[in-house]
Amino acid sequence: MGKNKFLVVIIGFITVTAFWMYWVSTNPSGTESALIRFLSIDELRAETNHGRVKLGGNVADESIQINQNDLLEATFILSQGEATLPVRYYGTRPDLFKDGAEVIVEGAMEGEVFQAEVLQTKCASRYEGDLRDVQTENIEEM
Amino acid sequence: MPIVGSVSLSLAFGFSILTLIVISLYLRTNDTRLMETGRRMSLIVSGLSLVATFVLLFELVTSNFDIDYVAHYTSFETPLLYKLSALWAGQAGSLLFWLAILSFYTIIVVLRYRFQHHSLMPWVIIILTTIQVFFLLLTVFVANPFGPTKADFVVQNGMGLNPLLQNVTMAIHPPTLYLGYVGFAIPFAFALASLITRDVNPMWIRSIRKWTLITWGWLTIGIILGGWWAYQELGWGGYWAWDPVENASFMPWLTGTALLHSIIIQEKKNMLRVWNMTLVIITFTLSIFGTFLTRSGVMSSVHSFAQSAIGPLFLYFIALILIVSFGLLFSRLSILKSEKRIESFTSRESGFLFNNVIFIVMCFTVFWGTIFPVLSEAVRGTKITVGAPFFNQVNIPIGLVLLFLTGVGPLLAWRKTSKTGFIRNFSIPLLAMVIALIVFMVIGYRGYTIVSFSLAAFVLSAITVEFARGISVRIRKQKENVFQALMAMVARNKGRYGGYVVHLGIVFMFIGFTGHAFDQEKEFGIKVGESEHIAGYDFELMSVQEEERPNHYAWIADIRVTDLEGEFVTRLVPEKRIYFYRDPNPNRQQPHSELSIYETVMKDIYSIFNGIESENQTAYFKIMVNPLVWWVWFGGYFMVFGTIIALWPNRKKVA
Amino acid sequence: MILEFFLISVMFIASALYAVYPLFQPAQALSSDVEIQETLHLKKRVFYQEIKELDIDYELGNISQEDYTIARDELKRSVSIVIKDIKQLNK
Repeated sequence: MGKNKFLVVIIGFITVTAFWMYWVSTNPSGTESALIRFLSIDELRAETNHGRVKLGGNVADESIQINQNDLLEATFILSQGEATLPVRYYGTRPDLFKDGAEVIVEGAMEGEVFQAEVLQTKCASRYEGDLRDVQTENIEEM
Repeated sequence: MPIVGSVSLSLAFGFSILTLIVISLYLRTNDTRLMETGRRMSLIVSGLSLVATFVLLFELVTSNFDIDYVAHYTSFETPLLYKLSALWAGQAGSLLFWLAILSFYTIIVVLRYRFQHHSLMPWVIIILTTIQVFFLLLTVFVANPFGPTKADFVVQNGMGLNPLLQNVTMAIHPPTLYLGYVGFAIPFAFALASLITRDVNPMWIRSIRKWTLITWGWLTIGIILGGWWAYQELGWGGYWAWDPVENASFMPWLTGTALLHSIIIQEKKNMLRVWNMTLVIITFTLSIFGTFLTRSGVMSSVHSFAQSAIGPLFLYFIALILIVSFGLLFSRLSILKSEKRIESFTSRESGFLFNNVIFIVMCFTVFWGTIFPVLSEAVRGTKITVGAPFFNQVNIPIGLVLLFLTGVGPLLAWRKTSKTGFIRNFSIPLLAMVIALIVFMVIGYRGYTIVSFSLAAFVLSAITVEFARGISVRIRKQKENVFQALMAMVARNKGRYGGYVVHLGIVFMFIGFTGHAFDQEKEFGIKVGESEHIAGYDFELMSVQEEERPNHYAWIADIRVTDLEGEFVTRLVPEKRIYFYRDPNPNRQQPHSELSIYETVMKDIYSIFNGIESENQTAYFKIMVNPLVWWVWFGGYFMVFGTIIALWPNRKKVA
Repeated sequence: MILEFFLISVMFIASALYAVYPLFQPAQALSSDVEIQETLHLKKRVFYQEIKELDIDYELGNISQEDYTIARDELKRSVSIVIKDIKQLNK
């Protein structure tokens, strides 16, 4: 048995996998799409025809409104510096979701509101805040 | 006291440079006294690094908030265990922790191989010391964990550790992962040393096999604990999300697993030497790359990476490793090439070879998916994120092929499997697979689920056949009973049978992964006395109690679960907590959902308390029914158990 | 501060002394015999283990008669060389 036969099998396997990766990347199965563009609010606004996208930003202060008849429904303003965008989300919210939190939302525009299907807070495994804020508060209190 | 820590690090840095000089001198002069001094200096470098680590631990425990790191990651209220685990909660601390583990391993290597690998050891020490120099550079000059608090006021109390991280698993998960990552430095050092010295003596590969296995075992434990933590704490009902941090640990695991298999070929047949070198180099590079991914901020954005001080340094270091290692490998190709060829597809050698190819391809798909967002942002300006669907869809078929090989490999004979051998070994497993296939089809399963369960049946029976063959040979020849035969057989060849036990664990895990296809979930709001229905269970909310505890305020729900016949199944008591609820600064208040999970062999019932609306007393929950998750952890135990068997020391022969 | 200074000095001096000590020893302080002996014993163990594994593979039918005989003879030859070397060294 020559070396070549093995080479053929190995290269064949790699080629198939490469095609498979390409296929998975370009063909969404159902609602789940493998590759999603991560845009800024301005980029999103500039586009007319946009599908499912991801956005990152902060929750604007005091913008969270929770439907008192259904706690699972929340709306808030996503801010990226000057740019802001209203977002609606239905579902279980992460514990770290609150004013000022850094969040990533995934979904699509529905009219003027971004309908988020996924809401993630950043840094689930890290916890790095601003020491000064907390401490100055404490000191003023004393 | 912090001064002792930072001076220790600086001293260690100084000694590490001296170590390199002294050992280089030894290599020139061959004066063994220089080598002894070099060895001792290496021990000093490692010892001082450990001293610095203990000083930081001491500061963390005694809450010295004059140190920035301590103030950021602990507070007076933080329980002792989590004060200790804050050592690896942040960047500076975790880099020091990396260094500490590397130092710990270095000490073992320097002491253990004092009288072995005479020609390799100087280079092994040089390489390990060079890696230490890199981490010393980072901790001394870039991210010093002993840096003073940057504040123009007296810090009264620290920030405290994120409640999510206040979990016993989370306290032990990173160290096990690090023990795994860092351990690959040793096979790497030996491999490079043998390239440098042109040592073709096959002995050193045996020394590193044990190290690779130990390291791999820690990495395995670390990854599983990480998944377990995510499942128990994060409240999204899964254990693996393909997030970059997870992928960072999974990639070296994949190449490490490939290495464990192909080392066997080198030992037995002295083949694949170039390939093994490549694997060692890639695995070590990936473990450095993993640290880089998790610690440089490159994943959140290219821009934050460019601003961080350590990101580019890591990239330079990775480039250095790759250039030096592959340059060396290339220059030594002629002495590594072996004349032997794999002769047949149906040989165990080719089984190992294909296994390796698949592991590497899998690793590449994970690598590609992990760095694609960064690449797309850097090249095209728009970041394109790669989600779990990509990884799942790409890796499920690859994983299934791998599962198939897990069954096939051990049944193949060396060099070539004869026809009779083929029939003898494969008939029962293939039969089991076909029966499973038919049964599951009749039940009505579809797609990957059937394939996965049938392959599981195939591999389980293949492993059983393998054990049965070994036992029956012993019973026939040694006249032992089944139990004696099993024990004697495993004792005679711990590596092989330990490996099979690990394979068993893998099969169980695949069964658990497959259960994911049947997950069900529902989110709803109910009042006390009402009930909801999902997946054949009724959930009745019995009560919601409120309780004030030392560092948080809690709402405790009591849910009674009954099945369709009305039989009582379990009670679930998920909680909603607010940490720091008395803090005047509302931003510091931290809600936290404490899950309640009912675990059985067949399915888990997983409950999350979303919140309570005080006006009309409605409580909101998310309930998930996740079949077969138990098997993932069960498989994990088997993998650890198998690794322990393989590592169990041989009894010393009486000379 | 004084305590810390003291600790650091002690640490530094002790390390330095420990490191340079071998340089003031006579040159042949380290014996290479020990090293060779260790390596030989390691080799012996490895070869024995390999013969064991080869036997298992043969008993299980994972290796052909012809391959088995060749491989076993080769391993036996290697072991006898190692044992001879060990004896030589012990003389």
